[in-house]
Amino acid sequence: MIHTLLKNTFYTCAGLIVLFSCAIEDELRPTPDQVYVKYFGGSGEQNMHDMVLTALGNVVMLGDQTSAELGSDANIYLVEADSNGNAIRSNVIKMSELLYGATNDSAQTEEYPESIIEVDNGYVIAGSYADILASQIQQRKIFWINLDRNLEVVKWDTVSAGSAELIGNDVIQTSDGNILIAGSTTRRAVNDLTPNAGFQYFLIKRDFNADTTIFRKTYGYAGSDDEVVALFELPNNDIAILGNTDRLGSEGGGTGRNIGIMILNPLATSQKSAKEYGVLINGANNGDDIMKDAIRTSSGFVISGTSTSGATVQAFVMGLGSNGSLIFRRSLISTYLINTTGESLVTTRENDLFVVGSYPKFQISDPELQVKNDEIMVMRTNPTGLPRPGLEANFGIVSGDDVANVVLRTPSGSLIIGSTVDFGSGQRMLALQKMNDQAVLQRP
Amino acid sequence: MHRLLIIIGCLFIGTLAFGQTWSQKLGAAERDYEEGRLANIPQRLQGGFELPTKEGGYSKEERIRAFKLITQVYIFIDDELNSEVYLVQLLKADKEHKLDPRVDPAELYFLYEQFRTKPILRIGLRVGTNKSFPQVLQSFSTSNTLTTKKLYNGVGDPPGTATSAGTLGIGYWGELVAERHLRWGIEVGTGVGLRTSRYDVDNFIGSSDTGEPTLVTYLANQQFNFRVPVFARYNFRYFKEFGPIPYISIGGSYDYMLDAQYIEATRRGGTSFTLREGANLKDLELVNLNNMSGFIAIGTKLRVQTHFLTFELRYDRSFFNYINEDNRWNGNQFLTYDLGFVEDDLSLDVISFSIGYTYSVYSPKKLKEFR
Repeated sequence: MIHTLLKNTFYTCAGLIVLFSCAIEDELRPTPDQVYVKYFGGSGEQNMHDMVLTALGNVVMLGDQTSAELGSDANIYLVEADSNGNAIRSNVIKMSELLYGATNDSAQTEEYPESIIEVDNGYVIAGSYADILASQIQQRKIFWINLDRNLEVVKWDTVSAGSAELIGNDVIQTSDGNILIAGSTTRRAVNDLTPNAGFQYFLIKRDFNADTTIFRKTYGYAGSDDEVVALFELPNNDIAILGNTDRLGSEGGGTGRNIGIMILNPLATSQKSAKEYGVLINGANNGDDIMKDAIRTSSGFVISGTSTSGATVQAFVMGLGSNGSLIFRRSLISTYLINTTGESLVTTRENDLFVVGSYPKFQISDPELQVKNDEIMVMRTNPTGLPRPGLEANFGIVSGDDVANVVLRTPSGSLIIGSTVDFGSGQRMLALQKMNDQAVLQRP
Repeated sequence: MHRLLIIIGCLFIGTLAFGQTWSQKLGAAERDYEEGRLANIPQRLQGGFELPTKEGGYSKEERIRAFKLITQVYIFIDDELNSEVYLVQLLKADKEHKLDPRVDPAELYFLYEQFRTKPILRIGLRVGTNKSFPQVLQSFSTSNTLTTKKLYNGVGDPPGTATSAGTLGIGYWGELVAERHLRWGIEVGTGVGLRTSRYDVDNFIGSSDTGEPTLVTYLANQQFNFRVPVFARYNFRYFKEFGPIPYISIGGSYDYMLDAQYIEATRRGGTSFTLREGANLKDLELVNLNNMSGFIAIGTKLRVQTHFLTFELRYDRSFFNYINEDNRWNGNQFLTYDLGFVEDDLSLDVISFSIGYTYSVYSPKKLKEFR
């Protein structure tokens, strides 16, 4: 009798424990690796510049960081986030420590990191830095740093142009395994025939292992400030450089800043093609068109950037063929009818374009929506840049100036947007948003 | 002369009889019953029922005695119909009238057993307070879910020198239930209830080299539920007439979310932000409106005549996610961006304490099998 009672009591208790220890979850809910918003950084300012999606599905963000803890100068800030958006490692790199040693407290450098790529042994980051002497920022020089998978420095290198400015904007690893960096400089490379006036397109190829220069070239135009923003190695090993120029080209470039493209041979000794284009804004072609990003497509390149004409500021996309010919160019007019900027773009699985940037002053007439400062802008367009109705969204902090700097597409088709989010009072953080390709923070 | 004396005597006795109170008449009738003089007892006692006590009618105790006496009289004169009528009256006057084997005749016992003498149901009203214990099913955060956990109701250690603004997560609730005894001290019941509950969250975002969070968010999330509980209860001393009746119960509830809102939401770090107009989670479709929960409870009943005063401690476990997963990130930009906050998947569990009163409802009638 007692034995039976004890047994029944045991089974009853066990049943109750099972019943009350479980709760039912919807198996179809969006999982953390499908949708997230994440912030990264300490107190102070962090600004997003670039990021790369690794073979493991992680995201490595490249930014700069300025904080009271690390001194007033900007440093290189790296964060790796796993597929759920959780930071798994980070590193702050000070060029001053690499150049002058960690114990030299008086040495200061200002870093302008711009680009990160994944290589066999880890990553390569590139950008510019400047010594700070007597609180004065000196001329910029190019740096590139090879990092291992733990974001620790394996080796580093700098390139200078004497007393001239030398700015690094993009880096790639060419098919021969070496490093190609592009940017701009005010100093013409030795033996180059291009005029030396203002900023020139700058290109340098460095041996990845031997730290020797394979070539160093400048290109540009008299009376024009030219800078490379993006570069690509084409299947035939030609080099495509795309950037900004003042040159009034014969291919539809107007007054003001235009978009320039050059196709160079593999050693960058000759130009196969050089063209400039402007973007029509308010029906005219005289605005400043500033390219910010470019991607490679099957037909050539697609560029995103911002056109400014008077008070009108509009993101644009421009499609160029592999030979530099114009395929399309289009200002992205927001459905809110407010200004937009374009910072980065990616293609969706359907070959649509997904452009990110910002709304400078998100002030729209809908009384239900609060007036905000700069908001993150995301917009999906058809393959030729025609906005898809309803696939536009804004995100961000009410009082801060937020901007989406980079966008990547995952193999599953989701989009990861890297942004700089401004919480006010000098607090800016890196942000990752993973969303579906409908510009919605919901399941793909 | 003799005739005159008889008349005077009759007048005297009549005057005495006329001057008796109903209480005295009841006593006299009981004596007559004991001595076997049953004639006219029911008729003699009727008047006492018709007067209020303060005007000389029966007291409550006397009404019970009178009904019982009349019932017995009708039993013994084989008036079955009237004996049943007056037994019902007796059971209405004394809800759970107990027979005394030392004095009550077997015939009354026999009749008594043919009638429903127990309550047909009990109506319970319970009110009390509760404390929430959110159970995280899966963590979501705008920060690192591997290293930084939210604090619920201030429980846990904040990172660095950060502090928690969380309160205990106190709410209030009440329910009205109907319950019925089956057998062996087991009761079942159902009813309706209303419950407010609340939980507070401290959320820590970002981190510097010193481990200090960059941003700290605090939100107070309040829910208002309509509930339909169903339960079974085992009473350990159900048949004891005196002393407390401890019990244990188990049940479930359908819970409908009438309202849910952030009653307080602030962010420290950067330019401080406060969600001034609050945010209705139901309007934002951030919460699931329908849920089910299970509960176990222990408590005790104290008899108040045939009714009970109850004290109960209950643990409610919600079976389904409180948060609408599909809309977690997309519900409101003020939450995700300005507050840097996103809800975890969680079951909203609460421990509650209540004081209640259970009113027994009787409807004495002849059992079906004896009709």
